[in-house]
Amino acid sequence: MTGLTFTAAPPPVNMQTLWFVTRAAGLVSLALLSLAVVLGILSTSRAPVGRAWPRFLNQGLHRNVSLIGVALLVVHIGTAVADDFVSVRLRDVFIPVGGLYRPLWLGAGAAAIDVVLVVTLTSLIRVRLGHRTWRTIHWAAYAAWGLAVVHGLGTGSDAKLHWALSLQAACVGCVLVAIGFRLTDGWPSHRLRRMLGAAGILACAALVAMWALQGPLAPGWSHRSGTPKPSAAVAGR
Amino acid sequence: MTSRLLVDWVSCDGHGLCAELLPEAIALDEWGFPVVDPRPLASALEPMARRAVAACPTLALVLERI
Repeated sequence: MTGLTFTAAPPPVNMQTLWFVTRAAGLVSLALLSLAVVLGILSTSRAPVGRAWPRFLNQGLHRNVSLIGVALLVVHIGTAVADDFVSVRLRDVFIPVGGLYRPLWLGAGAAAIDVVLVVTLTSLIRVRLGHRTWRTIHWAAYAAWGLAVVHGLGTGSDAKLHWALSLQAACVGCVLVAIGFRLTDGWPSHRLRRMLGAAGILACAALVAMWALQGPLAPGWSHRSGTPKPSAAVAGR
Repeated sequence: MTSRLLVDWVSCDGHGLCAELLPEAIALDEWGFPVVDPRPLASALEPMARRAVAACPTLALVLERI
């Protein structure tokens, strides 16, 4: 092999390592945080459980899985900002408007991050904050999870792949089943609130499903969602 | 420096995590509410007691210095 072919060789494949890590960490953190939501919902239940699965297990797992999920979010965001394949600036991580890459759906992720930050920080000081305040804030975790799903479908480069789609569907399915359990566990106290909650969840799920079918899962989404022209991304290198 | 466990009965919902985590000092009555050993806590149990306090879903378990 001559020196000439060496210098003319294409850049090594691992130029895109950060970009691949971003995508992988995004999907894995969605799975972990969905599991965290399910465990959190289960830990609210006082339904009797067997000796093999004590109640502190749900709560302990909920806390630890949540923290691992948040750690992976840091990887997801850090690599997205560090990578120059798409232009995600540090401001885009926290400010949900004005992004350069699929602005609306990147914004959903930023909004989710803001909520996750508040929910995580208030949980760390739960003992000082008091139960009522902490719990009111903790309800926002549902919103963060929903925003994360929309963000994943809207910006995810892999959202349309069969296995990625199955993973996302499994995450949504598990959380919906857990919410169904939460709404029926302890029935019939708070009947009206439970029915309103069920109606709200079903409406949200139907809206997101309709949007997903006509948006991210339909042809031409990368153009419609506001992906910058490839030439611009390459020129920025 | 010793300490003892107290339950804030207004907050307690009877989730029962405390009795799972600290059976040495907490039992559950027939409705699932904690029955706490009123004696000062053995110092060896304090780390576990702090975990039980942090685990209480309604922050109803209190470790009081006496």
